[in-house]
Amino acid sequence: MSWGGNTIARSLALVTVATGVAFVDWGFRPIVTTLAPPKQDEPGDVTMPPVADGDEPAPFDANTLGTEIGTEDAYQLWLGGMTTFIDARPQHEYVEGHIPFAFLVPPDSLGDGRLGEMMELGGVFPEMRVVVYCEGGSCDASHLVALNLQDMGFTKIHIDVDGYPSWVEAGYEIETGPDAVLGELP
Amino acid sequence: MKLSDPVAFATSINGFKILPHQHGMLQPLAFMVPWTELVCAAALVVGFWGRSAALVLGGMLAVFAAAVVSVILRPGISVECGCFGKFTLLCPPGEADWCNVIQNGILIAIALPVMIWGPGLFSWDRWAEHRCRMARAEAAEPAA
Repeated sequence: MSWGGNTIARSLALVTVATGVAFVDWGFRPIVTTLAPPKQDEPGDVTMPPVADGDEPAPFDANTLGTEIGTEDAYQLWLGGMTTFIDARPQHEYVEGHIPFAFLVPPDSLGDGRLGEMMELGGVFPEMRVVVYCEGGSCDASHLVALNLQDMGFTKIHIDVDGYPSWVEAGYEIETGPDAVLGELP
Repeated sequence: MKLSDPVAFATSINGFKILPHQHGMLQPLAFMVPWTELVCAAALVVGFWGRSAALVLGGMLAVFAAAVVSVILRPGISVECGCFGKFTLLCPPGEADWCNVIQNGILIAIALPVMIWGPGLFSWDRWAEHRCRMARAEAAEPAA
């Protein structure tokens, strides 16, 4: 058997077969790659206090929020004080500025048990509502962290799709420096 | 390994910071890469289209090695190789480094003879080749 177009064509055929199987597999296992919509608060859960917005008192209900939220909703959750914020950006960006009290969990640190540390040291439990954010736009980092949270049993996960730049632009409070609870990453 | 935990593998790919931050690309890739490895590895084991399978696997190893080199050369990025999922081969677990590049180089070197000379004696390809030769010889016999 000699080298030539035959070998290349067969290579492409193998890749095509594998790609086909991969897409079927992807279709059959959507749970691991998609986030379930956040569960509603049940009686007995810590409920979100309504927050007035400016002159018009607009009661804010966290139960109406979908998985993907914007800066304004994220801010309302932050004001409520019952939501854990997770910063999924690289450490140097977190140190330069982040949403106050947010935990630093970049996707690169997921393998090192960073989320476990957050639950242990930060007193975060799967029953709690969490908001994950990164640079905004279609950044993958927040989705990846959120998927890992879902695997750990979290059911009220939101992704702030506008991300940190939009938070800064809106003029909301920020904090600088390393993660005071979980510490610096190696 | 990678196939059993696509989220972990997607996380690992993301850590290399090579793909643009487009949510659409990462997830299919997290399924395509391990399936391509599995299909080609299975083909290589039975010697079915062995040369082509070795070519695909060798190419993938070269791309992975290049990805690790790019991580080493870019400052401020540290990422686990994720090459064999939870398992390790030659290199200790931890950040991707030159050991992973050498490891991939060794694996390419192992695949190279198959790419050049094709799979061994006890392979589907050789058996098919033998059958083909026999059939040709049988067809040629009456004429002789």
